[in-house]
Amino acid sequence: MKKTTVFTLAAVCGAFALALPDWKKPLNATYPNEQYKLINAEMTQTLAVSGCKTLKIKKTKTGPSTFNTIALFDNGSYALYRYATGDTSGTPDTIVTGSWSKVPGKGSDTFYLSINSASMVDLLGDLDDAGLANCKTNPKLAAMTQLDFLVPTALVKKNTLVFNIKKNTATGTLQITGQQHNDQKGSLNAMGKFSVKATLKGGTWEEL
Amino acid sequence: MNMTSILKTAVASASLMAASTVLAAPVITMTGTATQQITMSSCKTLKTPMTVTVTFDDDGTYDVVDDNSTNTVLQGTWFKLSGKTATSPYTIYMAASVFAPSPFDPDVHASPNPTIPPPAGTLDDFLDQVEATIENGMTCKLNTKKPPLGSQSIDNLVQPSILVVTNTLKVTTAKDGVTKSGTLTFKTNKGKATHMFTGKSKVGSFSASLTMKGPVVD
Repeated sequence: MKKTTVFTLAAVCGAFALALPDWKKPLNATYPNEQYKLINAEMTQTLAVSGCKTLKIKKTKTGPSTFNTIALFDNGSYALYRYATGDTSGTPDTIVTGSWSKVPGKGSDTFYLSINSASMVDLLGDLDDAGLANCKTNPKLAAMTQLDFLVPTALVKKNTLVFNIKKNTATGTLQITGQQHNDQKGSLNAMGKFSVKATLKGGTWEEL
Repeated sequence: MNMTSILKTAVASASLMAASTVLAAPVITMTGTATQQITMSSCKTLKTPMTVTVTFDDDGTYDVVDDNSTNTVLQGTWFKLSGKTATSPYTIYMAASVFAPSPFDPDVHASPNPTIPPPAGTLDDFLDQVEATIENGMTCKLNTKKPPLGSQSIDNLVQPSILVVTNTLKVTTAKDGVTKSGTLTFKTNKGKATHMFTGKSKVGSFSASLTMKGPVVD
């Protein structure tokens, strides 16, 4: 089963779960509410894999855009909904979750974000699929079958959302570096490096 | 099967193993004296020695346990980058588990006031212990002259601001070709913390590290 199908199936199940009442849930359960939200922010992304051409998803005047939404909840958790470039299905590729904390500043507030371990596995799995597809666009690497981002080697270099108070705009930055296994030269598990940088800009900032 | 699938399988396998009470088997272990160092703005750097055992299991998980208190200091997943030969130096990369509540779960709050304590050994649990140490075990400069008087309390140790910059075990083999020793390094960046040392809430920075040397058995 392809990953896309798995995600679609998961989304359908999720939709059913939302639509149908869960009789096991306690009636007095308190679900977190959204406290801050950045809607339809445009993502630019750079994914570098050693030995391959860097994959860049840029904002262009004519090209498809990648709109993302991040919601910060009042229980200290957040959800980042990542969509594929040009995707209008409303079903995110990946939902990254973790915790957030706000440090107020004079001209801007900084929201620090962490990524929980399960989300990191999903995110890197999603990114290494994209990285492999990108590597294979090079005719010399067309036979490549392996690109595995090694989760224990991944280091988050930056993961913040900065809200500019005067301009009422927010900018998100995520940077991760690490090592990967690949078969660029025909044999499995050759070591290489990877890095990803994603920024979120534009969209609408809401304080709820 | 890619790494994601492998890890998912490992997690599923770990659950099954736990259910059937089959324990993961250690692959590599190391015991030695570690030094935990904590820095905090306006406080004297605190260095604490402790005897620690690190165990790397065949299910891809590791545990760092403080032998004095049998307290799990850190746990997570690991990956070994082997050297060219059996006696070449090698590096083990470690990722500490990060626990965070899901926005889709009810009645769960994240730090600093979690309704469900983070599991032992997660980065969140480690930072909770760092916060307690700053409040109770460090010597900090407090405002004792003018009201409002300072207190050695942390308003908010901004846990998501902490980034792990190094988390590795580097292993070398002695000339006899058998004896192995290692250096474990866990180090964070300078994270943010709001404190009441001056009597008013103020943003400072803190960091934590754990370094250890000792014999390695693999």
